[in-house]
Amino acid sequence: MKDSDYEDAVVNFYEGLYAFGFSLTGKEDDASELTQETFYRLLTRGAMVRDVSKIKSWLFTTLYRIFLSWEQRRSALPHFEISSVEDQLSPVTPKQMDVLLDNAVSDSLLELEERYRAPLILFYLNDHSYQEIASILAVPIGTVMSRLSRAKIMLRQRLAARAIGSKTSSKITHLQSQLDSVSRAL
Amino acid sequence: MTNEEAKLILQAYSPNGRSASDPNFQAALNQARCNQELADWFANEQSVDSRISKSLTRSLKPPTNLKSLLLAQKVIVRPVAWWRKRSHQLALAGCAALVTIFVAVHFWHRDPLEFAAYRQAMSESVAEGIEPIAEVPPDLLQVRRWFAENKLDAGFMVPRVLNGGAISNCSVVDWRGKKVYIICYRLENHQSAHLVVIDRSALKDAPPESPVFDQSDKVATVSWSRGSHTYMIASASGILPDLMKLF
Repeated sequence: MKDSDYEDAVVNFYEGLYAFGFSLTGKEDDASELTQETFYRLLTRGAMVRDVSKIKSWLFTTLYRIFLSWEQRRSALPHFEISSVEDQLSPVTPKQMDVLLDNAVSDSLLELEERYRAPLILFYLNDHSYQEIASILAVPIGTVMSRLSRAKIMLRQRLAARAIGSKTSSKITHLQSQLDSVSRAL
Repeated sequence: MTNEEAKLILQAYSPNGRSASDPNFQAALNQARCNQELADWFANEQSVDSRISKSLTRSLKPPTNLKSLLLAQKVIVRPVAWWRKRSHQLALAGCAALVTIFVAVHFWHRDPLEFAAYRQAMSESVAEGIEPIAEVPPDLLQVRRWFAENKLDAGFMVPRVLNGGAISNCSVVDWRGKKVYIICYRLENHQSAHLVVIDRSALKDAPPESPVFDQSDKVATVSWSRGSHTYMIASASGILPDLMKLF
């Protein structure tokens, strides 16, 4: 593989591959390593990709296969997760609200089962047709269509629930601040 | 085609318009043009899809240094796979039987490569100080290039926690016939940490992918496996809680 082809592949696809990796693993480190390993394989086995126009599909397929091999290894080796410590919440700012909205979408996505998450992220982020999604995930086109449909419904249900929760929460905050004002006045 | 069937098809219509030229959508699109209820549903679907797509694009950004790490990988020079040359294949086949017998006998009398023994040996090396076999510039790119030029496996991944650390030296040691790569990092407050990498298959009970922490008398270690390698960060100057903060 020519250096320029490799550089083009990195520039054009690393963000999409990282997002795909993150949607599969839910962890930044794992997504970064999946992306690095995928591009490492492109370097070492890139000669197998004779048609440069198929690099995109090859990269996403390769990343998904690496992920599946990790999953197989994980299931064979029992392990313990390190519990994370959550920072104390501070008052939200308008800027954080924008991020909160984006995070709500990605968090809702991560709540879905992997078989729904994978086609959905390929559909939303990586400009793949449903035929390409079927090829990457090695499932029939009909399965992709039905999983996409089901996944979109589930994602929107979760987003609706978060939106309602957010509205309720902001109403409670508003009432709390009014109550505080009244208390101070008294 | 019913509206429900059309909806099932149109749900797979790309939010960025890429599907416009796909003939598989034409019948459903035509139906949407003639049916107001379906048209309204489709417009709403596209609007929501577009918002979700933009939101995910914003929130799932990769780390800032990932692109440069990926571009740096391409300078790795791979040794020529000499065993693929036809002239060597016959000799190779002849040697294979002898090598198989030698390896079988060799390992029959050897202790199994247990992870606990490996960790102990590496901890002792770190505690006693590691003599570098070469001066390597404090740059991971140069370290990888040096490995590749010396026909060593340069394909290991450096954990994100060490990506920004300055490399003070690196060495390759032989442990029971297996190559072990040790890269020494300078951390804050004059502390140091050693990234120790071995082929995963060299250990019969390699640690899992989740980090395993351990504290011996002088050395704190955290070990894990990923892909075809087993990694360990060992620090003689640090204590276990310091290492745990890295993860």
